[in-house]
Amino acid sequence: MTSFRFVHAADIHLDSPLIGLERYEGAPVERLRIATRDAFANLVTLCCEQEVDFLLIAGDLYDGGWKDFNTGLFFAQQMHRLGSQQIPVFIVRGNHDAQSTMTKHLSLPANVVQFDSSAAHTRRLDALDVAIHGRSYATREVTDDLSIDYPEPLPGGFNIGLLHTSADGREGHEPYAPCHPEALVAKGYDYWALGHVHQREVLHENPWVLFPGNLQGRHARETGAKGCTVVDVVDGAVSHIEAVPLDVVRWSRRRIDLADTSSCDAMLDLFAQVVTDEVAQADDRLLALRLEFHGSTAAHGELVHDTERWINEIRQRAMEVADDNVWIEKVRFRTRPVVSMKQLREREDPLGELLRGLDDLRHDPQAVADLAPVFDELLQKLPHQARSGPESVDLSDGHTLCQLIDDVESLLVPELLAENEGSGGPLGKELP
Amino acid sequence: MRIRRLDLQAFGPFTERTLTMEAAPGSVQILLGRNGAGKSSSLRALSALLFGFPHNTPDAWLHENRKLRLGALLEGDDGDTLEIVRNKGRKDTLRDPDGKVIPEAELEQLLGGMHGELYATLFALDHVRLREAGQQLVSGGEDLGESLFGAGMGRDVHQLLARLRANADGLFLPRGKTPSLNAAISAFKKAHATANKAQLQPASWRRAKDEEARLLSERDELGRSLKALQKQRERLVRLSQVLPLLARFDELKRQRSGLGDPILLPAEASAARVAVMDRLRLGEATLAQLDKRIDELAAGLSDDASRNELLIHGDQIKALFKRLGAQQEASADRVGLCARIAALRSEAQSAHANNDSAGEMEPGRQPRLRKLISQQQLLEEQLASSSSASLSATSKLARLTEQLDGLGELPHDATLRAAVHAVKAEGDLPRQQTEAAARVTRCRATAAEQLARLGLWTGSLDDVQGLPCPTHETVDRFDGRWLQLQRDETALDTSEQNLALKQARVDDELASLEKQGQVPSEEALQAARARRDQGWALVQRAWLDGQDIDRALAAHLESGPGRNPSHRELAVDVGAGIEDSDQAADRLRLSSEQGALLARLEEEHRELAEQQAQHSEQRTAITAAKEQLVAEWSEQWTPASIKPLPPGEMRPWLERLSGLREALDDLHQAEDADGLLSERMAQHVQQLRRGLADVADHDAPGATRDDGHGVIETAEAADLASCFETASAKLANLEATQEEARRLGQRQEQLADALALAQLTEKENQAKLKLWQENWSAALNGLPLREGVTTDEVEAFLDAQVALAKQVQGLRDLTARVAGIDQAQQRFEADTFLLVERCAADLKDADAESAAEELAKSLAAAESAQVLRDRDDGLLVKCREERDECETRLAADRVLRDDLLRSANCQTVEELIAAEERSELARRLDGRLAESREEVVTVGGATDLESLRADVAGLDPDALPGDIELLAQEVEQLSEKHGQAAQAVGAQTEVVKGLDQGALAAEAAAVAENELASVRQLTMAFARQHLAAHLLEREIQRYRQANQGPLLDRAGQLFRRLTAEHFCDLTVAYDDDGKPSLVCIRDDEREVDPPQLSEGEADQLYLALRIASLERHLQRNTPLPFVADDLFVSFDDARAEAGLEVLGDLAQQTQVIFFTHHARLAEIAQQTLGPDRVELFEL
Repeated sequence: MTSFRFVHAADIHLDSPLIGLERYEGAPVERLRIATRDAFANLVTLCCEQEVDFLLIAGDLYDGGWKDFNTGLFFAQQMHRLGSQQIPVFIVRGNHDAQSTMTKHLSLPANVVQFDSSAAHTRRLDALDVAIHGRSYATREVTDDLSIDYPEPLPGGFNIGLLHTSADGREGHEPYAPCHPEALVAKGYDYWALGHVHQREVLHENPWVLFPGNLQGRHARETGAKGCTVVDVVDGAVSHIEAVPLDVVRWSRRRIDLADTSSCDAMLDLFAQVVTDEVAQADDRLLALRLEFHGSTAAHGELVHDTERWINEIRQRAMEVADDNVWIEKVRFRTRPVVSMKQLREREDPLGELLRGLDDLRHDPQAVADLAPVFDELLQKLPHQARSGPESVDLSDGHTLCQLIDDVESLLVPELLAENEGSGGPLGKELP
Repeated sequence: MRIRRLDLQAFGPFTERTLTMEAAPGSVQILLGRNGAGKSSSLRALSALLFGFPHNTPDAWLHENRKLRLGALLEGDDGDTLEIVRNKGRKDTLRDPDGKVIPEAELEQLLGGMHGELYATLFALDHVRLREAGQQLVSGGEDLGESLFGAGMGRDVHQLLARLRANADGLFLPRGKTPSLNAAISAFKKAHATANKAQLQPASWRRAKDEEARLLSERDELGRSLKALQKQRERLVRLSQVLPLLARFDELKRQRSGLGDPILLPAEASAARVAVMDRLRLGEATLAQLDKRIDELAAGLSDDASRNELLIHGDQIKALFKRLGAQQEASADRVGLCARIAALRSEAQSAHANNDSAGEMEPGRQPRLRKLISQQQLLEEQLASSSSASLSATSKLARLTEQLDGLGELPHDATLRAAVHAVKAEGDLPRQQTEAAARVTRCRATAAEQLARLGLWTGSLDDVQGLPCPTHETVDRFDGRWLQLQRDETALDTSEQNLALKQARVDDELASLEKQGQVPSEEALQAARARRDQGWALVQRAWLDGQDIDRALAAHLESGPGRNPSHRELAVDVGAGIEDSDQAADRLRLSSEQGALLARLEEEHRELAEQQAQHSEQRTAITAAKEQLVAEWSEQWTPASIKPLPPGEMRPWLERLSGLREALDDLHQAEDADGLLSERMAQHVQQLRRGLADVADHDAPGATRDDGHGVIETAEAADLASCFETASAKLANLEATQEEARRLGQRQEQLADALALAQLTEKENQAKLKLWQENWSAALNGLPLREGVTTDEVEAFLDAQVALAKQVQGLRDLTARVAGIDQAQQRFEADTFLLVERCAADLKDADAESAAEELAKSLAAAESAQVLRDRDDGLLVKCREERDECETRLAADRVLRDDLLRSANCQTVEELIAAEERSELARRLDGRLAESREEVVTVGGATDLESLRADVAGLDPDALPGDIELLAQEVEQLSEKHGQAAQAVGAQTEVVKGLDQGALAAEAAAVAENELASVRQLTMAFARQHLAAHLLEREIQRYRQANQGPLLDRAGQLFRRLTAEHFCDLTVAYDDDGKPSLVCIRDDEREVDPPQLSEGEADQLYLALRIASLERHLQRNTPLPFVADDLFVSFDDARAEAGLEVLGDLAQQTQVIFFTHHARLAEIAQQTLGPDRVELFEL
């Protein structure tokens, strides 16, 4: 039996842009524009440096709707790099690749093998005693279990199944080419190199069945380290498996409790500590950070009254603490005033009636739905792209409207409780 | 809640200032203060007292922050009081007068859960705010709802709404360009277009690459042709260069043959010969020089006996020289030592004369005496201390016994203790009962609300649990059948639609077939073919056989007599015949297909009719099943008297019913819990009363009966709280007494033990002192001291003895040192003379010290001479070794010279030189021949000389230049074409490269995505502001609708009073859009819009609305003190009087504290309300 090393990657989505990053003064724009390219180049460099014996790509090399042929040319260049090091590459096309027009016109070097979509086939690496079985997607929506027709394992060899699949279903991923992990295990292969699910997940060990996750997180729901899986095989058996991060932009989401803070300055100090920790964990990568502040705090009124200002303050502090190593992707203030909302709601005064009115509204789905026309004029102007994708804004959605009602409550309570701006009032402006 | 006393202990300008507000409800408390007297501080003190100090306070200028302190006695609505002290700090700032922390919740409960900001907004009003709000009210733009809501909140909601709308407009306007969101949308569209434009289409790339490949192919083809021509030309050029080289080669070959066959010596032979001869000459000269040097060194070496002796005893001489210094120093010290011995001896003799007993005291007596002296003071102090302790303990014990006797006997309190502990174990039962009752109320309200939302059924809560409704399984079953019928119906609809479409198609096709008309016959086809063949036969006869066919042609064409048809007409006829026969054949074939089609369509038509019939039957069956299902479904709900909706819609109704039943279960549980709690509380009251009866007779000394917890009062206690309080206090009293008795008993035992111990210690100390005196006498025995000598005198005597002993010992030490110096001098002299005798007889008459110095000098000279001799010995040995080596080398070189002569077959060196020259010439010619051969082969481009000779054999040297020139011209032409092709390739490659824009499109897409993120962010920001304005406006109008009537009625009355009846009422007017607004009615019934009011009237209007709202608030919420700060500074006396009357009325509902710095207002208040209803405080 032979010993060798290979790399398993998937869901490259080459040249697909990072989503949700609003530009602002001082944001490190140049560091993330071609993040997926850079991550892919990192993958190729890793293969060359570690002198791996072959590379597996389990689908979704491209992003479905992306038509720029330059992306294909870049991919071909990278494959040439591997070819010059005699590293073969095995690819199955995933749902996004099937949708892409790129593959039809792109000539790839001889070291790249793309599996056919008509049926599952086997490619052998005789020198290593390895058999790789795979099948590409013919169309975007493949609803059959492709693994059923994968060939029987090569007796005595190391068998790898290369498959783009949703397995037994994963939240946030289309249920394409579903299959049962138990059935994959029962197939008798030594390793199932899966793709499609963007979160790294080991479904089974010995034989190994795993998703390596995507190479680069693309939005705030794809947090944490992203990269490939390096597999060492000794005497025909997997001896070591390691997840290697290759991403150039690291996504993170943090909830910060402001319950113990009484001022916006304290909030900034707390944030500075958090961002310092997060940047340290990102290992010199650019950090795209989404923040949500919550908890009852005396700073609530100031935060919701001048949200824009405090978001800018946060971004400024981030630059002071971490230079251009962090991009504040989004800031949400879900804080509450120190005063008991329950008590306010129970009061027999205009404010109490207002709050009870908002409560009734929240609990009446029809009334919530009736709010949607308030935004009709905006919806006519809003580009359709803003209403689709992972960070879509849908102002006709009940859940979004309920969230907006919460925001409105947060906004109005301090405004109605605050002293009149023109006078300190007889009891003095500053109250505890 | 009202403030009964305000303690300005340390705050602003105040120190320990107390304001006691004891006036009855309905009174107004007026705080009158001149400027700087502390009116503003007092106002802030109220806020700080109730809600805590702010982080930064302006009132810490007299007292430090940490010393700021306020206090108050507060009275709740139920008459309970709470005394508080407020400090400035981070935690536990609320305490009682004893410093015990009071939970903030306790104060919050008294304040009815009021928050500081809300209190400041609702219950405080000053003239500035009054003026601003009044002006806002009359400035126009506010509708009635905003006015009422604003007055109810004490906030300018019109301005708030305007700000929310302005914020929203700043983000987005439907037809705007500059608002942030509009701009972001434009930026996104632009970036998106840029990204699309930057994309390279795969087809464009393919076309450019194909063109590049074609041009490359053309270039390569031209390149191959060019290469062939160049190769041909280069061959001819090469051969033309080879011809003279071949001639030169042949000449060299002839010269070499002329040398014959000489001995070829190695190339280095000559150099070797020269080197050997040079070495032989040099070696012989060196040998002669070495012999001469050896002789000189051997002559210079000789021996010296005296120097040898010095070197042998060198170490001894050096040691002696070292001792010489020490010896000289000791001799110098000896003089001083002798002087000190004489002085010491004189002092010792003097001391001995003063104390003639010195030296007679035996060893050990002196330490013993010193130990006894130190023990004496300690023993006397211990004895005094133990005597004092004994006396003190005796006295304390007597006093304690008296106290203990005064406590008397204690009663049995076990029953009372158990009852109190049982109540404590239950926790806060009254609060639990309150909570249980509140829970019952809440549950009942929840159930009632859910019943109201249930719909379809009307009945009471009591009937809900017994309401007979179908189960969920039944609903599921009916819903399944319902859905199945709907699916069947939908499927039938779809099938019928498909059937109709098919039917229409079949009908269309049948109609089309009918339109195509008559089908041709087989005979017609045969006739057409026969005419065609007949015409073709005539063509063949005329064309192939050359026959005359005129008559036959006329017959064929059926021409009339006398007319001869032409061959052209025959050609036309044959062509028409071919076409006719083809058309007939086609139509015949087509007709057969049409027949088959007709048959198939008729079959389809029949099948479709059958299917339609089946569908009708299915439709009837489904309709019947639906009616049946509806009937059965209604029957399920008959017992509940409910007319049901479809099963799917009744499922949520059942869930609501289920929720209602759960709410009812909660209600019943809450009621049960409430009942159980009441029973338990009654049992506890009974048990507490029994316990109190058991201890009723006891009246412990020190406890007073006027503590409010006597037995009689306890027995009459009505509820658990008062019983428990009384019992707890009684028990605490008893426990305190028991604790005191126990403490006194323990103290009595401790004092008795202490007394016994003190007496014992006193006796022991007396015994110790007696023993010491005996030892002291024994120790003094025999010493020359008087009887009764004191310890201090004995201590002085002992010190004198010690000093004398030290002097004697010093004398002995110095004498010994002088003797040692003398002995060392004698040893030094003996050693010196011994060495002089052995090594330097010439020094025998010198003294020891001089001799030692000379010996050292002689030794140093001898050692220097020995170093030089050792160096010459080494040089001699080295010269002899070099000479041996030189002789060996000479012998070897002679052997080499002889070998060279032999190899050249020579006898002498001169012969050898000639042989070397011949050998060199032959070798050079051989080399040039080889180079020439190589050059010919290389230039000729051949592998060997022979093939090259064959290649040039047939060439005409004279024609070669012409041929070469011709080929050069052809190469030039082709090269030009090739260059053009290469340029075209380069240009196309540049085009391809230009298409590869790298990550340009991806980067543009990233920019577009950034812009899109901004669009989304701004969309949500706009939505928040826009929706906030929308919902606030909606709630304001709802508030207006709910409160407009009573609020306006009351505000109208107040406005009439505050304007001294210049106005009589307020009413509502509506504009063309139906928007309501406030209208004031003058005393002459004329309507006045608020913008027409004067400043003062505007103030009064706002005050009327504000107080009306406040009164309404007080009806439904906990009353709290209303703080008015110089409200009437701009009112004339009549209106100020009216305003104070209004405040007086308000004071019937809640406490009113009126701050002013105008004494006149205080006077008006006293006149208007009467002295009994005004409590005046001057700050």
